[in-house]
Amino acid sequence: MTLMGIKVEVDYCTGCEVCILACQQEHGYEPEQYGVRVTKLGPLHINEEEKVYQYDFIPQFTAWCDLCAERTGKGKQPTCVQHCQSQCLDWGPIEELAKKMGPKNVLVALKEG
Amino acid sequence: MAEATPGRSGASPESIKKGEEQGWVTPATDDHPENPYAWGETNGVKYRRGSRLPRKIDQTPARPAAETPDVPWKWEEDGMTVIRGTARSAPGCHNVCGILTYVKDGKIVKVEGDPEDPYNQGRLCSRCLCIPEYIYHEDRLLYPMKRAREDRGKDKFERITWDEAYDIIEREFKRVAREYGPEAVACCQGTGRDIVQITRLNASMESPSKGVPYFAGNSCYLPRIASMACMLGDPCFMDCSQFLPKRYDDPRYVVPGYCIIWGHQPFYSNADGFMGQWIIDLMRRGMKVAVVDPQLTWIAARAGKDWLRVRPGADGAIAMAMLKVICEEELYDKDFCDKWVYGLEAVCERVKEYDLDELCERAWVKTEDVVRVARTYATTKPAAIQWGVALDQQTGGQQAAHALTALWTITGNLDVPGGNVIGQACWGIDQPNWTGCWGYDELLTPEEDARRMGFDIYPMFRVGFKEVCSDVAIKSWESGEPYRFKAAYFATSNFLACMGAQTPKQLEWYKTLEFTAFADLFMTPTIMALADVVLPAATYEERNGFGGLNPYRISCITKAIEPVGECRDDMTIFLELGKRLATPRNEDIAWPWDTVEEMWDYALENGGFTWEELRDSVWKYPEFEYRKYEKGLLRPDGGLGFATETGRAEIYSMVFHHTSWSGLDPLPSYVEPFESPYSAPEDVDEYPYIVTSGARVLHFFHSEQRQIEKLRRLHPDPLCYIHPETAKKHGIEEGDWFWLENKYGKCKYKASYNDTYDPRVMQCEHGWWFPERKDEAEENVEDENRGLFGVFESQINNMVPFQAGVSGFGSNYKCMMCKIYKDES
Repeated sequence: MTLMGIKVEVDYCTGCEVCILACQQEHGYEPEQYGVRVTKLGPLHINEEEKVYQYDFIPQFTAWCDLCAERTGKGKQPTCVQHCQSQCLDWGPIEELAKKMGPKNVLVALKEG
Repeated sequence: MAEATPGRSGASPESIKKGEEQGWVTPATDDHPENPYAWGETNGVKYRRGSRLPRKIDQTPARPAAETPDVPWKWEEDGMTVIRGTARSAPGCHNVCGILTYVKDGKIVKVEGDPEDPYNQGRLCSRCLCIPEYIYHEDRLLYPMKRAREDRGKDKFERITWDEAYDIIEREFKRVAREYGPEAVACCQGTGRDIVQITRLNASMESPSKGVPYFAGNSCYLPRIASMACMLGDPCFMDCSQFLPKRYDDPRYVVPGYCIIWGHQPFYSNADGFMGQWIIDLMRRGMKVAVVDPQLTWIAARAGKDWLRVRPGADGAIAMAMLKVICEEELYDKDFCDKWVYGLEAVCERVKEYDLDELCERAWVKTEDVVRVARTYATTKPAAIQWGVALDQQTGGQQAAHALTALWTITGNLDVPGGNVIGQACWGIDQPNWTGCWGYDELLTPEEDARRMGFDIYPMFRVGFKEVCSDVAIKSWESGEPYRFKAAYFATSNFLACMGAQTPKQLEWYKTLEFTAFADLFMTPTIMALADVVLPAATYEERNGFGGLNPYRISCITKAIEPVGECRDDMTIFLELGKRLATPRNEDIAWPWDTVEEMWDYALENGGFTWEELRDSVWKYPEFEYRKYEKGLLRPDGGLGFATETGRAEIYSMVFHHTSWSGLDPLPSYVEPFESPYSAPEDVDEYPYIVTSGARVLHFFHSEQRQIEKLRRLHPDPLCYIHPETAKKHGIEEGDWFWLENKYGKCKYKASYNDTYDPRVMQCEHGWWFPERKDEAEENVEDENRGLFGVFESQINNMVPFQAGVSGFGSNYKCMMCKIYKDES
């Protein structure tokens, strides 16, 4: 069994929350159900003088996320990956995603595929 | 000199000659002064007055589309029909993203982004992803309604038929035009809807009154468009490859090395046909950014030292400081300026009048930061500027726009790949174009045009959009000069909740209208307060059309479902109403079409394709050219250079030179905003803070979407972003409600702490009303304002001064002095 997951390029997530709405539409979820939520971090004052701030958004996946089994079965991307406005999400077997890791990337193993 | 080729709009001398041989009337030009009324001109395209045909004077066959996609527009998938089209409006939006609509049994199941579409490349924003919730919402307006004038403000609407609604509108508009003159009938609109075709409606009534007369200073994009039109002959856009169907893969495209994002939150506003995420695409490809913004936006946090935390309203000071650095250090593109720019010496002289440190001090930024950004911008090739509405919403905004346009001009970033490029209507198809004016000059005489409010006072209102000057309209309510509006049609404008300045006053004024008709999707506070007739409008999924408001491409809006209830799309309403309202002079020529599709065939004529052909290919891009000034593609006469008096890019503007009697300055300058800490220091003790209106919320387009549960859940309350130090001084904790107040009005917001602001600066969201308070409307209360969904409560624009700049453009939506205090209720 391979572990399947999602890779997030945290530095490019702008917090647009499209993933939440795309997930809800795809699965017919109610407003309070979501396969993914976005958390805001910052702005943190890392170095005021040099104007270094950290201001990030981080998608977190819930147990409602099924990695869009029905879509991916038809050769499509999970809906959050396709619709992500800044294209900061990728999906697949985690071994393959691990090879594409870059700075400030997060890899979430979600289920056995 | 290169051989001139015909431009995408306008006519070459050869084609005019050919037209004459075919018996057409030659347009009135300097060579043909004897025929001044035979032709009108809109955005460089000439129209013969008083006859629908012949319209097209350029007989050159249209250039074929750069790329016609080999994709179907419709197919079956998993028992559903999939319709490929593009999304425009309603609900409001400034973009035309490619979408796939999944339909089962005549109902929409879901909407997805189209991965084949070069525009959005499969992406879609939260508002489109919720479109089924919008279309099938229980509060959607489904039938035409009427209400007695004395019941305005009360929920006493009565369902009527479309015929009765049209009968009433026709009767009342004709009566008002007869009694007060046609200009007393105004056609007003909200933004973000491709409903600029409404101009044809007022023009067919012989009324020049079209626009947003409640929006002080017409403070959105018009000031920048008019400024660019005066200086360059055409407007410019940051080049993110959006003109090229192959996008970033097109070998002609060059990624800008550096971009200054100015007064703009790209992915929040997606303004004016610019998809904000293109900026991210470019950052991924190596573009560095500078950001001029009072807020540490997400993107400002990625600009490092090049985030310039400007004092709201002082953008022009930074622009002039950068211009000074570039002029005095001779960092401009000498070769380009020699060949193509008019006025460099004069600008170099002008900037000598300013002290660099003083300008930067005024803007509350460090001189060294401004100098560094100016040098980086001038020495990086190509570099771009992407600006936002903040420039339009201050009394010195026009002058700041002038300085910014000069920046990309003298650095040689004008109309080059990855710079700021000139965009024109695709194939000269002006009807869906972002400058609109469809039918204006075809149907109105110059005398009627001159009756337009502001025409005689503010010369810039003769350029670009043919809009009513709001500054004059606002004054007219008190003075009666030059006249007062007496009836109006509002195409999806919820101005009491949105851009209306000092909105309680607007309500009082608009209540004096003898008749009003509104088209919209939901019962809004503005409709509840003012409507006599209400027409239910259709969404983009319920209509055929095509998306404009950008100069990149023409794309199709394809009906996926039949309209819910008895909704009709705006275009059908204009066509049906237009036939009834056209005056005898215009009745044969204003609306000669039987269906909307037939009307579109006419509008698309210059492109050489029909609406059905457009639907089949979904989108069409005209062949785009960089450096059009070198190719004779900008001037109506086909000559080299720009469509200006000198043929050069005029950073010394000849238009402003000729109209300097109005106060316009041919050279860029810094103008301190009306009522700022520097122009009104006597007010600082009472009003120590500066607040901006219009902080964007991701999921709401201006005043829309507040009733969409999934979206509202993500952002339930109106927020004011405030420095915790400032808030605590007034006993305001995070999440507390507090009041903001100035000389003109007040409003109540919830505090959201953000310690990256200057402690003297705060920002409020706009467009707030509370659709969930419909119970209060249904009680038919005697205090009519109680029935208006709390519209004045969290309305930051209650505080906007009416004062516009010398151009007639720009009121201080983005820089209002104010005080704050905690809400004790």
